[in-house]
Amino acid sequence: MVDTSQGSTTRAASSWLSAATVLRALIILCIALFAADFVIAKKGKFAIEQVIGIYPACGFLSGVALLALVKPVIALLRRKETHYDG
Amino acid sequence: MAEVLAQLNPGIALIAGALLFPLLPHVLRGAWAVVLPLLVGWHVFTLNAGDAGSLTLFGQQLTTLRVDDLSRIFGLAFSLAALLVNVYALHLKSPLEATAGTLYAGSALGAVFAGDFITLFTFWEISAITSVFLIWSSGGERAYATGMRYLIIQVMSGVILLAGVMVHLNATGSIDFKAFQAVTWETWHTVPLATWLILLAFAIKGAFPLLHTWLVDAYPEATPTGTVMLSAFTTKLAVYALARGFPGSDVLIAVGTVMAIFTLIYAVAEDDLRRVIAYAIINQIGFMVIAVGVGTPFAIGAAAAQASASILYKLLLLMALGAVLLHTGTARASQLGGLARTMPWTAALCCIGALAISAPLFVGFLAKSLIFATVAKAGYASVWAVLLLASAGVFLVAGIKVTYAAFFARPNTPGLDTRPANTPPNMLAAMMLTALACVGIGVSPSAFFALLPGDVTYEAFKLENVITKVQLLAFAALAFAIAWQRGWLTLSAPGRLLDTDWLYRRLGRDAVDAFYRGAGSAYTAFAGAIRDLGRHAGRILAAVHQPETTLGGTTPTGAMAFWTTAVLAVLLVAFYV
Repeated sequence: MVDTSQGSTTRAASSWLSAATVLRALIILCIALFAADFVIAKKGKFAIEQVIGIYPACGFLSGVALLALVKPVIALLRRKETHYDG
Repeated sequence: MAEVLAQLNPGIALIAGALLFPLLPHVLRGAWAVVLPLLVGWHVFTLNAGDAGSLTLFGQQLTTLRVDDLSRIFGLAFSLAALLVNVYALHLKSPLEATAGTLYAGSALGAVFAGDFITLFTFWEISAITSVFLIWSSGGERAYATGMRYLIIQVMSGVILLAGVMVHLNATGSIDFKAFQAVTWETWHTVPLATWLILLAFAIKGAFPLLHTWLVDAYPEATPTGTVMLSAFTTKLAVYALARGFPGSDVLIAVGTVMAIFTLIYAVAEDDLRRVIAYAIINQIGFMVIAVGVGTPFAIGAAAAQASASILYKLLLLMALGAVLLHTGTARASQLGGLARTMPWTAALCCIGALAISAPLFVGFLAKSLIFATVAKAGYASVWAVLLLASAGVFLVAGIKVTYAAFFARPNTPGLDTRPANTPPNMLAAMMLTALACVGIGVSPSAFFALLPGDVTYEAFKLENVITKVQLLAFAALAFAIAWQRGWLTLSAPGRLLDTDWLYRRLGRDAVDAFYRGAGSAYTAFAGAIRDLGRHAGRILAAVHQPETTLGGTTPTGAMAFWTTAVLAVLLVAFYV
């Protein structure tokens, strides 16, 4: 089996995986998952686990925090690739 | 024969088999590289529990084979990893990487079955020496320098281990590798020096914070195959050693929590995708270290599960990136993108690797569920909350970011999404086998749980557990998708992020340079002063000793007679007065 080119090679890669489509699908999935929080019985060890939306909030917060950190981290820590050379 | 096998450390078998690699032609070597880990894996599986392989060395009784549930699960994971990486390396004509990689796997395997510290130390050092060839195989000055840094740190870990063992032997008279006094916040000041030294050796190999830079420095500099091989063994061996030696050391919970968080900050902004995975490896070790710190039998089972799972999905992600590197010559996010079109199989398998980190029906989900259950049972609410964030975070950076940047982002290099890829079939086969293992274990956890130490029984597929973990991942993905759709997504920038290796690679080097410069200047100044002093002294001597000067000149006879008469006259007068 060889992993070779498949399909058209002239279209841009992003044309078949658009951000809008992915976002729409994820919004639908996330709404369904959030709604599930009202249905499932949670028996977690910690009281905070009973809070509606705690897992979605943690996931979203983690994602936002990390993505927001990219630019400050780059500004603060990025150096030339040759920084350690010579 | 059966008696010999019952005493045989599987690591020795793998090392002996690997030594044949350079002697065999390519096709035979490939066949042997596949059969050997299978045989060794079977040997691991069928070994009876207990101590064997007694040997006396320098008056000390060695136990070269100790089999229990903890060593067996690590042994099986290492054997499987050796098989997968050997399949991945089948296309290589040179025997160097396959030989070094299998020797390295054998030494790690030998270490997990070591019943005493001398045997452990021996395999510990062999693993350091054999693995460096996977970095040097890249060729060039940069790889050589990186390999030397890696080797120095790894050997240093071994030397510290040996020092600890010697102090321990002197104090206790034993080299038996068993649990030490736990290092806890209450008792740390009573912990003996030997224990600290041995813990430090394990911490270096385990890439603890501030000791971690060898990993993120070296792994991305190895060959595509070499990085895959390196990812599986060294750090997991350290986790095994910690689980064996320091269960219940609650200082490790704090260390693991730091590891799980700080690495994400680097991984999210790092440009080199193999270095992203390197940071993610440390993040995942953090989960294991936390479980070791809790230290209950269930927790040790969870740590072993996480180690085994982490080996598989990190192998898969690095295999995919290795294929990308082979095709494009780079693993940098700033130069990649759009490869899903030309490498659809690799893209799909990379997606499986991303999901296997923690999505239900994949191996990582089982392991992380056990870790969360461990922390919850122990009642560490704040650690549990941090792990939730870290779990979503590692999925975002090692899963979504890597897959997106390599395969689905708009190509950063023109033509990247149109140039046909020709990934060697053995690399694809290795990725498929690894993906199969990730899914196979993920959907059928009972056999996996049965292999774990600590009699782990856990109902992973409870609706609550599945839904909450999917919520965590889906909402992290949602944050990513919003940033992507709104055009806010910045994933990295070309260059290098400063890490604590700056301390010795820049500050330390500059300090040494400054010392040499200062010492050179001081020597020059001193030598100049001595020279000036000599010159000055010469001038003075010349001034008084040359002809016609005070000491060197000739005094007229008349003047001498005059002064002699004068002195005698003064004496005569003084005598009579």
